[in-house]
Amino acid sequence: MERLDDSVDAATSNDPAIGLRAVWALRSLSEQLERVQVANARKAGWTWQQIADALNVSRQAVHKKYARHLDALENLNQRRKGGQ
Amino acid sequence: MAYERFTDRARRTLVEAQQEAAAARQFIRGDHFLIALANADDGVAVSALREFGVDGDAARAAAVRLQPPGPPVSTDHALSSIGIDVEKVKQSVAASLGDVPVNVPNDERPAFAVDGKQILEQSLRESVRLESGFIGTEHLLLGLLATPKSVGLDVLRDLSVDLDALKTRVLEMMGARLV
Repeated sequence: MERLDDSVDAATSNDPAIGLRAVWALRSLSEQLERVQVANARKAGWTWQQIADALNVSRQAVHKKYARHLDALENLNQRRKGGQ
Repeated sequence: MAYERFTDRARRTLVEAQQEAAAARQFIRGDHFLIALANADDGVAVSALREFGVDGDAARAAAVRLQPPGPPVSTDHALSSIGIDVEKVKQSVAASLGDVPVNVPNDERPAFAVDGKQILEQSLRESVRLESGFIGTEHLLLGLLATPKSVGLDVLRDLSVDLDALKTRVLEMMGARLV
């Protein structure tokens, strides 16, 4: 499908607007992937320390970022299961 | 963000703001909120804005005048320019992890700009402060008025709106105590 753009042009583009948008979009994609991978690791029984080691960050950093979110998600899932 | 607290009309406003931003290939900014609020079918925000002579078309025209859009930047295009095909990434994730949401902003669903995020946060704060128990278009407008740096505020000023008077009027219409 023909888009607004032309990817051959894009690959050789030196337009900062496109380059910077790409950086932002990549960061956003990376955040999303981190979230799903952390959730998957927890589901597989990994400890926060193991996840932190794999991500090469401190345990505190990864725990602070995800623990509350994931706990809320787990509670929600359990409540759903309980309700059935 | 607690989206379940939003009224249906406030949700529709957010969707419209997103569409407004998507059409301009921009992140969702205060001016997109303002245009969407001024185009709402009913509610406190649109009523108050009308009293102050603000409608969607005037707001859009002012926004374009104040911040002429540069050449459109496509997020899809930007990612493909560095060799990343988001659809392929999503397929790979789905293949290995199952059906988990990977919500990467794209051209149809742009992300919130910095001021857009602040407006959402301020709306929530206004709702809590006024003990409303919900977030309606009135809170979104109050949130916009409480966010100092946004094209949305610039547009209101450009349309010669007295910002304090507008805020007072919104609170009056809500029947809230003036705090």
